[in-house]
Amino acid sequence: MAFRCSRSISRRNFLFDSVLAAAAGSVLTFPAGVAAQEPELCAPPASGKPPIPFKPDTTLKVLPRKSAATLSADEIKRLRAAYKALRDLRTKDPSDPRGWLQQANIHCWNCGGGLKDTKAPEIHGSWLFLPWHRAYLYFHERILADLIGDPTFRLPYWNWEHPQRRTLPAVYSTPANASNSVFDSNRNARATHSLPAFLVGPQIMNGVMNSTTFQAFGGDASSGGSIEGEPHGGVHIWVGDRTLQSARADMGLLSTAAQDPLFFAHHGNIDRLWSEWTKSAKTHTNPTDETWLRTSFTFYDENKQWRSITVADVLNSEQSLRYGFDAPAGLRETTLEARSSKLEVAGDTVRLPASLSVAAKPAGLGGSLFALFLDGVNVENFPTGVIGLFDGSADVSKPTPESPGYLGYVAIVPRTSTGQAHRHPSARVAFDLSSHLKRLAGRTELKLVGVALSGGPEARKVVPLQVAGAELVEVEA
Amino acid sequence: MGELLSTRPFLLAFAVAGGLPLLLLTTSASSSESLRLTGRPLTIQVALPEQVVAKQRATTDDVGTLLRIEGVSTDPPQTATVRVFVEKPTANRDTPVSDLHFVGYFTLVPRHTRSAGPLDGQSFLFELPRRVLTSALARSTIQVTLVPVAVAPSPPTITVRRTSVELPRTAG
Repeated sequence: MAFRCSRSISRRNFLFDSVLAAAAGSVLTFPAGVAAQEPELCAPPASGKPPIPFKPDTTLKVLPRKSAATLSADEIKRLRAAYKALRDLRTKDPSDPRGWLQQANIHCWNCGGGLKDTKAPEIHGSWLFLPWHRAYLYFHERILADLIGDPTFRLPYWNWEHPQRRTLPAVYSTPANASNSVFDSNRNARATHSLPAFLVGPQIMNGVMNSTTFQAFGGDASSGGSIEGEPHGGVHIWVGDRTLQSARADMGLLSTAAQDPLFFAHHGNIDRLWSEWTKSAKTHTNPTDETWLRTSFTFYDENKQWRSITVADVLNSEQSLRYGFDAPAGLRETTLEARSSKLEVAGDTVRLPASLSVAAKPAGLGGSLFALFLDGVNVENFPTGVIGLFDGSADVSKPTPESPGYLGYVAIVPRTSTGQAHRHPSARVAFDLSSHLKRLAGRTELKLVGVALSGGPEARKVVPLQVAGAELVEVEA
Repeated sequence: MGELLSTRPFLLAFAVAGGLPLLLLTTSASSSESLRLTGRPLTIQVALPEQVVAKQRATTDDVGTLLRIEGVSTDPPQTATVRVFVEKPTANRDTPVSDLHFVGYFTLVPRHTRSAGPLDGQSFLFELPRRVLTSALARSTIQVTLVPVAVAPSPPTITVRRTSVELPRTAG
């Protein structure tokens, strides 16, 4: 099989292969700080034939992909055997499109190509991101399964959104040497490091997974969606450089990212979250745009045949690609410690607990969320509009949502036009106090001031209010 | 009798890392001008199209309004993580992602360290919840504050080609 272009062989790759060939499974460590070389060219080998359209292999059982953290000893053994076979294949025949670097370069080619490629496609930054990676993982999975002669092999995923799964999965990080075929010495993140919550924590994932449209979640023809720009990119950069300050191979550069086997576990999770998003609400539907559905991608399969597969082909992963997921409600695995306490109230004033002062430390990783719930807010003579709630100790002479004492707002929407006083004995509103902790430190009470915010600055006035009850909830990160 | 609406649903959230203090630099720019971020927060005014204002006023539900940030790039190619706040011009690196005005973040994962990458940069979409739009409807603009995080000693200049607000596609 002829190359359409030559490939560069990086020093790191050379060392890896040499180590594997010489060691044959013995424990040898990688030289520290071996720099990865970015591919000059990464086009796939030319097939010389038109691609064969994909058809589901219904002889395959539909089997779950599992969290990498829950793999059995036998599953770990098979995963490592598969990647070792993939690496060995590259050594035996660098032109084999199933080999390790060829597989990694599929991603390089489809994200704009190598340094000297000029006509490579781009599947990032648009609605092609999710379906292309799903198809890529499918063909990669079938190749790995074929190399170990096990059609039941399925790729694991790294469910980093789970609070207890934010470190690298142990199978990929330990042992941290060449005896582990799914270890990559170019990672800056190691076994003991943990992804920060501001990249993948509940605050981020709530927003991503509650996207109301595919456009917001997965992007459109010209822009990427939240799943791509937020946790996907965040994890890539963090694995390459935990300080997030530099773009470092392998994972931190798109051209080298798939040279790290962790890439496939990371994207396995992105794929799982897409599946979760579509199942989590009836309104969470994939695009029906024919342009999207008919978009076709090409890959080599496990038999070295050049195949085409469309977006429509991959939408039902169970029927067409023969895999599902072990935990259909991965996000619901999330368990967070929460403590709540009732607070005394008197009219518009809430007594604060001493614990709030203890928590008033500089914002940092691992901090807690403090939410103030107010029950039975009673607003007199205010038929409709938005009332901003402010900390009464702050200057409210020019109240705006940007004022330091601004806590949030409540909106009064009339049900009748009679303009009665608004009493809501059962209504409950929540405010995030987390960003107010410094100001509230040492205070024993919080006097609430309501200010009408509707109708512009000239209409702003203090609105008398009373609160029937209050509760403080602290959620541990 | 009216209906009391919560500021937002109770969100599980975390405070973000503190760290190196950043000077706050607030700059206004029209949504179609190219912007340059140099490691400090930047606030811009973005027009709310009439149909967005009308739709938001016609309902009390979230309508999935989208903020589109286009053509984000760095020269030379570099990684970047930028938080996006709406109607929070005071946002800085210490403003937590639990803040009501936080709408998401975007990352730049470069293809290479040596080539320029796509000339038009990467583009991102953010859904804007009703809570961040309500106070802006009267003036038909929103303030979008971009806060670079994890800033390197010599932060890259981040260019943003265009920023706009739109309604989501109705079908698909």
